[in-house]
Amino acid sequence: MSKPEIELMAHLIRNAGFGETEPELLARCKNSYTDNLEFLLNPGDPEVMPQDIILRMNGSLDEGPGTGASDWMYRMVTTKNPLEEKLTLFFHGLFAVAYSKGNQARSQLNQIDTFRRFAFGSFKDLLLELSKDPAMIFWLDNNENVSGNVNENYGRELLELFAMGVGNYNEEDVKECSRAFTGWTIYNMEYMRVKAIKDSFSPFGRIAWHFEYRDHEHDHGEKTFLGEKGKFNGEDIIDIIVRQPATARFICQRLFQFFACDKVDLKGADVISEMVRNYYESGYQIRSVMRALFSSDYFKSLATENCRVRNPVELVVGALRISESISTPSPAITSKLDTTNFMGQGLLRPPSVEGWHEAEEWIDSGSLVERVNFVAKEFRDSSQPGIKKLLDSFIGHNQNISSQDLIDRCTSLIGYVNLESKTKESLLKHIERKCIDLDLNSKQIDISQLPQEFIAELFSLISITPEYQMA
Amino acid sequence: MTLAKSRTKEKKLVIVQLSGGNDYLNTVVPYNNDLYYDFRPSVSIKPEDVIPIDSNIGFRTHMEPIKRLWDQGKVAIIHGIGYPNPNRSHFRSMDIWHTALPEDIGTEGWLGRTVRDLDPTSENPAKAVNFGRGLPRALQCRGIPIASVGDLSTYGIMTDIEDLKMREYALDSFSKMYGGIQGKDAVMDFLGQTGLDALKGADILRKAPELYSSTVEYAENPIANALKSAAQVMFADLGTQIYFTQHGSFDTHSGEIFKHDLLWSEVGGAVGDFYDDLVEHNRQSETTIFIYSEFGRRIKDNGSGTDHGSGGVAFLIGDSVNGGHYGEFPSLEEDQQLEGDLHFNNDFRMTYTSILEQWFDLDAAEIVNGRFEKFDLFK
Amino acid sequence: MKYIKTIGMISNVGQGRGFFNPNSCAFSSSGDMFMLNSGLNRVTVQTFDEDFLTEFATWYGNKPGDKKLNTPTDLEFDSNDRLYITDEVENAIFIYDVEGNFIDQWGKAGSNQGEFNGPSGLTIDSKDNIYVVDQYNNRVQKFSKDGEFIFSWGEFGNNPSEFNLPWGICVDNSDNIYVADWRNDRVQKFTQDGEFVFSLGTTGRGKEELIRPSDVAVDSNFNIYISDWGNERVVVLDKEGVYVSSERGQSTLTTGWTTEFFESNVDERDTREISNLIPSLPEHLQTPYHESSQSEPLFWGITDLAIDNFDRLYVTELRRHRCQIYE
Repeated sequence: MSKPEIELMAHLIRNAGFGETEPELLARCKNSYTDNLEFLLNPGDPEVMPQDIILRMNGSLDEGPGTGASDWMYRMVTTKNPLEEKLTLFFHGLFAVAYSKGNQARSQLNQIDTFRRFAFGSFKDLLLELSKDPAMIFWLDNNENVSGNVNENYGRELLELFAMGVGNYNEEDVKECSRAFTGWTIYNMEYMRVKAIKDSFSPFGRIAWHFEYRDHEHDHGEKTFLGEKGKFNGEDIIDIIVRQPATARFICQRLFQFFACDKVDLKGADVISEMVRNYYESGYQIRSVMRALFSSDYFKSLATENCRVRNPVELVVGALRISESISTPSPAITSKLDTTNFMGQGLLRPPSVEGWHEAEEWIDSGSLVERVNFVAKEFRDSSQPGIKKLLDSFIGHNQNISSQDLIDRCTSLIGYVNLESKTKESLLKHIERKCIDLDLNSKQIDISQLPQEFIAELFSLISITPEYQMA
Repeated sequence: MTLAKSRTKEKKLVIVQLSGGNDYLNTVVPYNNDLYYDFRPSVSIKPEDVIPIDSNIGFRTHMEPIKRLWDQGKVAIIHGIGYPNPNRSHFRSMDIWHTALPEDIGTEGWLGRTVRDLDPTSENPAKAVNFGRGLPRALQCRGIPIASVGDLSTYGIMTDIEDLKMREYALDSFSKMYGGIQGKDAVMDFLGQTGLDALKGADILRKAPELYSSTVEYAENPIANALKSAAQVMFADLGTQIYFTQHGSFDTHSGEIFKHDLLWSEVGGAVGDFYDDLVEHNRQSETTIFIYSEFGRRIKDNGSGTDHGSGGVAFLIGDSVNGGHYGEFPSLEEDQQLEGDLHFNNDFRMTYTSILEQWFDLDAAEIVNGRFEKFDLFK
Repeated sequence: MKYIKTIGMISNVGQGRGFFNPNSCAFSSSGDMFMLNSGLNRVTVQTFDEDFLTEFATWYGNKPGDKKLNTPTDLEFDSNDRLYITDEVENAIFIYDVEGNFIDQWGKAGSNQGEFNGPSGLTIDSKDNIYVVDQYNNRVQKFSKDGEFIFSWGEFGNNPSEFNLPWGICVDNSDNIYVADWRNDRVQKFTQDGEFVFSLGTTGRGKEELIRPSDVAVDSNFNIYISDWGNERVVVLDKEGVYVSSERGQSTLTTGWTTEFFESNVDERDTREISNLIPSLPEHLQTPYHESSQSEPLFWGITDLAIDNFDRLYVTELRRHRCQIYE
């Protein structure tokens, strides 16, 4: 196994997934990069715990925003299809719906399921499902959008935040787009609305929602949208939207930033152009767009390494996948989920329709303390099965290695973390001090003499580095 | 007379949020109003349990500590506080109180903006402290560092490492790594600086309990713990001006009589003890306590509890507070109700404006998203 | 099955009248209904007419019996009005008297005789022997009334007398034992000595088919009721196991608690009245789970079946915080 090869695999899984350990990466390297990429793009059985067992073990998982999201988080931690969940998370941030208004966790989870079902498919199908999604409809007031009394909230955000971006349409387009979505509402809207705005779970718990099209509330008149004219309904509008170059650029750039690099430089712009070309050639397939990104020379050159701040969910899920501290969907997962909220990313609770403020804005002194404390604890705990496995890989190697090699060994084991030389120096000093305390020679450390806790502590220190906050 | 402006920096605001929707009618009880007992056949406070304020209304049981301060003229009761088109969803209504934006979904909090205006250069990472984990939206403001303290005694970076030497090594490495990364690029500069700030902020705050001594004995419950922590931070003189905490859940759909009673015994006791602590450390005139909830509850009970309503009550407590009634006690008459709820008669942003302008000498308009009338809440 | 009425309503604070994730009910000799709540743990006591009497074994209190339950799963009375509660995380049986006073507890984690790994269903025969479903050990253990281990049967598998994560259990008037063999999609009948008699159900959504049955009850005429959890229905079979009927649920409001709620929340009452409470769903939501999540009258998450002293069937729904009663 050549070092570049496994480092590239680590880079892929860190971005297309949640990161993996060296043994997992070695197993992947039995197949080519392309084969691995195709496997990620064409997911099979996620091999997650079946939903029936999850519901039996944790019967109220779909009740509230915290418990509801833990069902999803458990899936992220255990899935064999990390890219599928990562894309689902991307769409949750892009089409941001928060619990606060609808108070309907089940319907939000149904929406997440929809994102997962359409994650790799056509962007057109996804936008259509999104427009029919009851949680979205209620969130952006489309249930108030009726012929003769147009509510522009959904129509506007569809253009501005979900598909095209400002500057690519005018106010008239917003109006006409909104008219086309009149009558797209939720079933039993009047009762569901009262229950939602009062946050009422009485008498018998929450009642989930589904889409209803009310023809008599639809504006059947002619509309002019982005230069085209017709008696458009919502489907026609989406048809027009996905054809726009602005739409192609918009979705491709957002994907690039979420999966590769926070900032787009000139080479990055070339990759985005290639993604756009694939968008059209494939008939708007997200799968093709993602393939173009991950098979680009730019991505594969590792030029995008550590140029993206990991979002809190990928940080936490990544650590949990390595430590394996969550084995069942017990209430413990809800407390781990709370930590992503403390780090600024509450699942099902984005701050507004604009989603989370990403990149550097994930980091402030409060969120950094939460991040560091969480990963440090997960990696330090040598009793967790995942950490134990990594520590056991040292057993039997009765050789002497230098402090430098020990650091390299540890960074490789937890996923080929790429550290700056100054960071390594700090770690070296740490080892040297520790060796003095333990009366060991730091130039030639006898691994068998090292307490396992000490190595786990090294994992932990690597996980709190500035570099580990990035991907 | 307000405290001299030169002393603004010493003024403190302690916010106690009653999360879940505190039942106004069972907090300040209209015990002489037959309608109250008609609408509340199952969930009312008996006249003999009320601590009378006057011949019409009185505090519920367990509010004796607040009644004591009321009698000394140190409590402002803001009756019928709310906002137009009341929202009865917890999260949404809480967001509205936090962002001072009833119509739109805002992301910046009024207290975050207050900190920004109190400390424009963000010199003090402990200018505002939240006692609880995560950052309430009220304290969020882009670029403004706020400390969130789940537990003061274990606050900081990797405080769960029990071996002190090991922890010292780990923290030293952390400090070297975050110091060393700077200079690589703008993102790493920022990350490195934030790491060092976090370390510094934690060091400052964690020392507070060691410096604290008091004869006041707080009870053992979350709100008492939070207010005790607030006292520790305050008396350590770290320049903290905003103290935020919450207690709950006041969401008493059922079993209200028992649950609400317990909650107020905790809040009443904790606030009383906290005030005594202020007096012992001579901070009572520079500290104001603000107690509010995201909404009140329905006028009519549901047989066992009360459901989400509108129109609430807030309290402002302290030696600088101009004690008395503000707003009006809303009518219980059917034709005066708002969809079965109490009608609000003053916008919560009036109270915010009064606090910001009269207490902190700030211009409130930008913080609360508009100009509002003021109450004369301070001496 | 003829619908009689519903008892219940959500109580999110876990105090006072109402249920929160109820998962099992039982009746004292005086006929009071004891409901085990697994959301905020407690046992609530109420009458058929929805008079809320008391609560005990609470999550908040300071009496000796409070704060003991972690993840309670089932409760049952013996002939002396002693109430037994299983707890699948504590791996223990907690015993209370009919007044709610804590009496005793036994059991510990393990797979040896008398030890538990996730005890779930519990039933008590006419001689006060106690049968406990030992979920992750895939067996049923029989104990004397004092908690002495008598014998056990079952192991993992799908042959007769084998189990895959069994859940509920009941005893009929002749002391035969019925076990909801949850992940094998069947109910197995045994003699009181643990000898296999017959097995009911195969996997599926059809008439005599089951998906993940959670519990079973047998009335005085030996009719068998199965809570077909994955199909969100109750299946009725005669004593030979021949299909009679099935029921998806038809809950109405209750005469007491929910009526009081709507009296003070008329906006919800009025809009509810103009709603279709059993809508038909888009194709991708046409599963029993989703149908129940969107339809107030239908069963959702049936965790327990119980039969009272008048042979009425009580269907407890974890996700709807209520109990529908049939005869």
